[in-house]
Amino acid sequence: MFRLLQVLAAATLFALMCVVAVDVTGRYVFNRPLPAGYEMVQALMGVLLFVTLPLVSRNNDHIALGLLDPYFAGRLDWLRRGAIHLFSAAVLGFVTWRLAVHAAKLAQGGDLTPVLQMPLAPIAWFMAAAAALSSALLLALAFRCFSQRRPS
Amino acid sequence: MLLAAAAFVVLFTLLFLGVPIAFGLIAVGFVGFGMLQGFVPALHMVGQLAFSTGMNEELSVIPLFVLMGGFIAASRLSDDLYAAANAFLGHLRGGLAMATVVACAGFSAVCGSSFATAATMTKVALPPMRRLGYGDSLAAGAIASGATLGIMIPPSVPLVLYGIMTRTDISKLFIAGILPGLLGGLLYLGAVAFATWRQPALGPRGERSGGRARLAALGRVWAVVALFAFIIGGIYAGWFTPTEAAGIGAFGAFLFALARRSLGPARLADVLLDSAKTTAVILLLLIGALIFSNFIDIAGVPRTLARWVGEADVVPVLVIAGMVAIYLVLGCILDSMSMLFLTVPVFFPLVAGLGYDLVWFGIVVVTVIEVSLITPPIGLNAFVLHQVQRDIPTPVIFRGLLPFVGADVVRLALLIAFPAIALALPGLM
Repeated sequence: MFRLLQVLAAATLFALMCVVAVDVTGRYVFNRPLPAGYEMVQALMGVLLFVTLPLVSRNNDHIALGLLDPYFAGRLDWLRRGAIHLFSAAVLGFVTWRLAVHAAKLAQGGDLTPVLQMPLAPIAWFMAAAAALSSALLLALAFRCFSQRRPS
Repeated sequence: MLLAAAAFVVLFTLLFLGVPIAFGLIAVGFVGFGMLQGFVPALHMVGQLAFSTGMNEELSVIPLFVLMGGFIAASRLSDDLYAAANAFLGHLRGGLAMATVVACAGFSAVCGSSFATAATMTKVALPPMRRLGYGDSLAAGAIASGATLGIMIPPSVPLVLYGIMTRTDISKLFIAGILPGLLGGLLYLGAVAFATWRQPALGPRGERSGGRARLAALGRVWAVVALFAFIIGGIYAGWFTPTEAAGIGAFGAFLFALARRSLGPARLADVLLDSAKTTAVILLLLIGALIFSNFIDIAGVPRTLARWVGEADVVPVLVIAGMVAIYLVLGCILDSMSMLFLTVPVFFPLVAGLGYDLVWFGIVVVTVIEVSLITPPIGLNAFVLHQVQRDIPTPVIFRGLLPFVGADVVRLALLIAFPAIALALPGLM
């Protein structure tokens, strides 16, 4: 599953680069920009952020300070780590919920992008699904810490 | 205001315990906002912001510039940049350290990450300096400080984030960063000269290179220099938006890496994936920061601060000096991203209210962030360098950094005294 996400993330970013490069070259060299460059960039950005989110959440690689890290050791430290992952999972679970609500609203309103007439709701559903997966991964990480086994 | 103060306490406790900054910001921002405005609007805000930030076209500059940096780093340009700088400066007293500063500035400008620069240049520049008998302190100081210059010299991710948070024109911010970045580099060269003047043994002269050697060295780096000049020039001339420039930059760097045969399929996948991850981390942080910033705003923190300042009736420049002092202290406990995200929402309305230009303030903020990367106790560049080169203890690195921190203080003072250093170029756009 992670392999698939990795390939998707890399491909999305590569596509983003190509779309912008082609759009700009088209506009300045041939005077013909990509018809829906703006919307494609928007969609690719949404996919990029959320397809990568599970990959950085897998080990909770989000930027943290942890100035007090040296003062925790042994069992207490595993508890602290578990609590951090649990907290992170809860926040992402919350974000998942809100994204799902937002997606449902977009679906109901039948919101479309102006040029491509692409429905917005599926993107929001995709974001919610990715956030849900990230949250589940963090939850698993939390349980591994609480059961004191070393997280991979 | 009381609620905001409590929120800051809770937030800092969470962050110090090691909760990822993004999650701390989202949680505290949401709860605070809910307590003030009701939880229905707060709930709505979270979904809306997460969706719209994810779909933000303007933010695509971040993955694209990060990707450009990834390609440049993968193309092993660092050795050639160092060789080129060395060909011109190596024969001076402390010349290798000066070349290090220049190569670091160039590399970090296109690569965008001061940590990647510090790590890479340690491997590239430290061995020749040691061979020539340079003091470890000066050598390490030059690398760790030079690596900070790139976050000011455009393209700069912190300036993009600042621009999004304060709704300031990102093109202008980029152009405004050019002169202060160059000034920083010049002052660092001065710091090397000063250090070797006091202790000539720290940095003996290297060999002088002939004109032909200099040309040959330039020949290997001109393409990247040209790419850099093209995208920045394009922004300045108004040909490109930052996003377009980033797209061209990334694509150009991709071709450059291909041309140097340093980019196989596996390496390409690595670079893409790493850049995607960096982007996801930054964007999630930004979502958190925007939620938190909404809370700070409706809690009336900027307004209250403005009233206090008004009642205290002090000269505006003193307020700025006070902010800089706060930043320098915060720099000792926070990393650069949290500094940016926690302080800018609080300070920028006040600064604008005092009649200062927000473009200029962005440059000041990025300068203090640069300083925080090289000051003890958590100057991260020093630790990155230590990670790569275990036999140089961090106290030695921090000692070597002293003249460079001095140079930064001078730069800050100049920036505050003469805002034109930042504002002259964007004024001509």
